[in-house]
Amino acid sequence: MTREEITSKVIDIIKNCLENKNITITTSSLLVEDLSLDSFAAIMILNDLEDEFHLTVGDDAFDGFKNVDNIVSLIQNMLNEKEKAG
Amino acid sequence: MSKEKFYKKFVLREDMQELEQKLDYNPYYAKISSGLSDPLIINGEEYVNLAANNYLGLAMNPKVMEHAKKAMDRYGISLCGTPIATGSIDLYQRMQKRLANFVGVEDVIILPSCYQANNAIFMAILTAHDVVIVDHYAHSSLSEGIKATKCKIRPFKHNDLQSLEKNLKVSASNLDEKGHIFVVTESVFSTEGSIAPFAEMVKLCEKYDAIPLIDDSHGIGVLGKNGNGILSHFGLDKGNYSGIYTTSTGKALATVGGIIGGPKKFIEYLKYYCSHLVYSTAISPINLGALEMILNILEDDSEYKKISDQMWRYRNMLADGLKAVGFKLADGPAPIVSIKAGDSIETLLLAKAFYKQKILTTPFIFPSVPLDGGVVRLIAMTTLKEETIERVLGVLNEVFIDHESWVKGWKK
Repeated sequence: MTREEITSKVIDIIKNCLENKNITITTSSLLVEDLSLDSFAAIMILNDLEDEFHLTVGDDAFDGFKNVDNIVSLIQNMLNEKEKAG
Repeated sequence: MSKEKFYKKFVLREDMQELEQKLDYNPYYAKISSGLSDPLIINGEEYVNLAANNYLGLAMNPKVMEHAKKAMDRYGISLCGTPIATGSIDLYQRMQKRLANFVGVEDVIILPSCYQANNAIFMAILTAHDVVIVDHYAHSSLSEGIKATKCKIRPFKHNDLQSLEKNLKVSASNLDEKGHIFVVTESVFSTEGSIAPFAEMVKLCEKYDAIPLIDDSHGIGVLGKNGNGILSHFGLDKGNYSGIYTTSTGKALATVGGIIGGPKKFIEYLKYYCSHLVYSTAISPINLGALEMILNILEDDSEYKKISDQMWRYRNMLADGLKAVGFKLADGPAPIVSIKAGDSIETLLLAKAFYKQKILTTPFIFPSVPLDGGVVRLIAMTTLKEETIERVLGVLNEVFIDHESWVKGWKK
């Protein structure tokens, strides 16, 4: 899966979890300042990412993350590792 | 790390202190020198209390206070022991039965607070095999209780049955044989007054063999036939609810305490294995005495109707008045009136505009609500005088104008 495809899916998942549908989400959107993500919203997104990409991400995976691009990188790295592991 | 460095980690953020100085206002920890009377006395001045959860105005009810005094005369100030030791007095046991019957469950335990009850229940029953599907806006007491366990957490979108069912489906298909699914929500959401579609949620729980748990803290005393709460509101109180129930007695029921209710054998287990109950000093006789009279009042059809009608009347007067001058309300159906105020600064400025008019309100800012979802909550207790409500309605336009101009000034 290309980074663009992952980005598109990640943004769709975040958008679906937000109450405010009018927010424009880009890779540089800040998780707290722009998207108002609280701990439960973050877990909701993590669960949807796990379901979508068939990964086990862990509830604290976003710790230290600033923006959407950080999430895209996390998923891309995990998918790469999964592929290597066969 | 030195002790000095350790304590330096735990100081209020400088920007918060700076904010307080710039706003010249801090809405929290007001120094109140009266009870929940009308007027409320803050720093020696008279204020209108629209901040307390004293929906039915029972916190200073003379009959309740008299009954509490009688309980104090008979049992003293404290039982100086946990319910399992010296705290299970006859009054405690009587109140267990009455509360269970009142809310519509088989049995209850009574803890010192609902925050404690909501922490306690999850820590007593959840394992790493379990899944908790919880409303995104669930109260801190619920979310912190759930997070303190090793269970899988699946938040669903606020009051959204489709989101709930999606999570139930995924959870049911991944559940291991030792695990259970729990669905956790609140009856009335305290920042905006929305009510959970709990009857449908219970049906979905039945479909996926999940156990519902509802916190009725802002529903008891307010919803249901005689303020019996959410189970009565949805007709689930006639022995047809087999889930778990918690509530505070510190809001409409005007005392201090928290309840966990459910099937008799389950509650019997908690009496011995719920650490927060077994190791906490029992609720005081004064509170139990007050609670007994409060249930007497609520169970008296005509008396409850009188105070309940007044609660809704004041709620509607307040909501209509706010809308008329241009405020946007969250407009939930509960007797909570919440003004959508914007970001944290806009919210604090609105609370300040009310405070300038000698009206105490409750502002909710991030992280209690989303960053731009601040609200100022108003609850008009039934014991406010008619002229007090009229005075509030009379200054709403000035509050609106002050707020608009202060927000403009701040943004410049």
